[in-house]
Amino acid sequence: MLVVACGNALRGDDAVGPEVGELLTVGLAGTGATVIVSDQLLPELADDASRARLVVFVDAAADRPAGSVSLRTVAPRRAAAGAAGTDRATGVPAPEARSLDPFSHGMGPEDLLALTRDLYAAVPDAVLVSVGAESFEPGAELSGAVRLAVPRAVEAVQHAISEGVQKASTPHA
Amino acid sequence: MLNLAQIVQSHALSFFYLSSPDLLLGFDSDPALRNLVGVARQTPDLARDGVALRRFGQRIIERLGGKRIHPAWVVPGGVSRPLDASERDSILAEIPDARERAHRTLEWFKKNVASWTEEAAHFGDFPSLYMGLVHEGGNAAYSDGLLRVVDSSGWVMADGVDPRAYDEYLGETVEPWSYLKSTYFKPLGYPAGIYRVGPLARLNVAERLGTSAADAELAEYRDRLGRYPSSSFHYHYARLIEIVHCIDVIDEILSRPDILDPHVRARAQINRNEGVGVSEAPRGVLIHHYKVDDDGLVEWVNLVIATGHNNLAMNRSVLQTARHYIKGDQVKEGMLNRVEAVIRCYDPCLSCSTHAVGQMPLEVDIRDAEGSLLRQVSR
Repeated sequence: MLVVACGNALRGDDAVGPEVGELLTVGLAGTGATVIVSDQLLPELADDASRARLVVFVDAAADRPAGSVSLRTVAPRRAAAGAAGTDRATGVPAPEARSLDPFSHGMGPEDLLALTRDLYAAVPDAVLVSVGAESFEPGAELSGAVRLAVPRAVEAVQHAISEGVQKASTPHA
Repeated sequence: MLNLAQIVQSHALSFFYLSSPDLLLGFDSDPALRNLVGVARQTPDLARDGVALRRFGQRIIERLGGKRIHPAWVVPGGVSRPLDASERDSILAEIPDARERAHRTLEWFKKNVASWTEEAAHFGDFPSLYMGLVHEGGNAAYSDGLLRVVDSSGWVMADGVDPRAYDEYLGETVEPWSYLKSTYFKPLGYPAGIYRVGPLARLNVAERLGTSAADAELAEYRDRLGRYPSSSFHYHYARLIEIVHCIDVIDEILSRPDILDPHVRARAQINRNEGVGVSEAPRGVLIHHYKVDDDGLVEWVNLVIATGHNNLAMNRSVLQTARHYIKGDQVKEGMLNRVEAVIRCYDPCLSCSTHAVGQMPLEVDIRDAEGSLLRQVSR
């Protein structure tokens, strides 16, 4: 089991990932789960993901109500559709048609899982625990709503891991 | 060693993550797939080498500094704790694998370099000055060196310059259209004093690197490209040679008998109110200049960073690339990609230094010879 908690600890509520990750480092000690806290998702995490049965991503979400905690399954990104969403005159793809932007260093869980599949022929189960954020302005403090959400996010990760363990130990699951 | 590990992981990011998609899949290939995921699909071995080399550098940084980004191991007077034997042995154990991957990548690049001849001729191929740190005797220095500036014919414009005197040689100016300072070599004025720093410049200013395998590669590089390659496209090649060199120097450092010495920090009070620190960062010469009060509180700072040193050269490179690839008012994505790709040769810290979020904006205005706007393209 692998937990990847990401976010910038100096950008307001973006710190919720690292905060949850630090708590889980203690809370999951001795369970065999690995917790990685990272500023952002990076291609080299594919190596770690390839050795996990379940990957739980934890991240702040700008498009969710502040303080909400939600969970969804994540699958590897499929090969981009090529011409879909592309300006016909220039061939420039719309932002949503691009996956990894070669300039921004940015990647999402789907991209990381696609890399894990393509590099290491591994497709771990994966879920994303999102915590709705209020502000990403510079600062080391979480907003009140997000601060209150931290225990629920920790619980959501632990629940996902518990279910993953059960699934792994259930024949033909 | 921390700096060398940083160079390895940063060069791996630049080459494998950001530039190999163009080189491997083609500058005109489907942009939706032209990324590391696309590389992984086409040549997983190359992508795995990239991931492994980046992890090699990062793990050294983590072992020494406790974390990959902004480690707090280096402190005034030395480092915060000594290296222990198990950490040393762990790093040493990973060196053969890293070395093999670095050489394999270099061989792949050399085998394919002829296929990028057109890009090499138009990706910032112009005479300029080059600046880097060298040790006495001419070996490339990544710290504790003296500044050397040479021109494209090898004429030494400045040598043995104590970095503390940087502002006697380097001027800084600001243009209204850029957040980035533009630096120039003062004796030639602005903008004639255009110079480049980083891997290409380091290999041009140094006589040699100082490790046998890397020096053999450097000799071949000079056989292929000449003694003073002038195209910024060759930053890629230079970067790969530096990875080989840095891995070998890390090996050498770890093999020194005093590497586990517990005496790693000197302590002192404020005894000087002004200081300049210079090193070779992955992208080139990095200058930090501080003035502090008697309590050590910082009162004044000037940072001259590699991306600033290269600002004039990057702009000239964009101009050259755009003029060659953009014809008339018809613009294809592959043309725009080349305009981006020439910037990627320098591996600038644009995203990080500007805190860019999401899609990197690129806007191209196409003007006729009179300057009238024909078309705007953005992505």
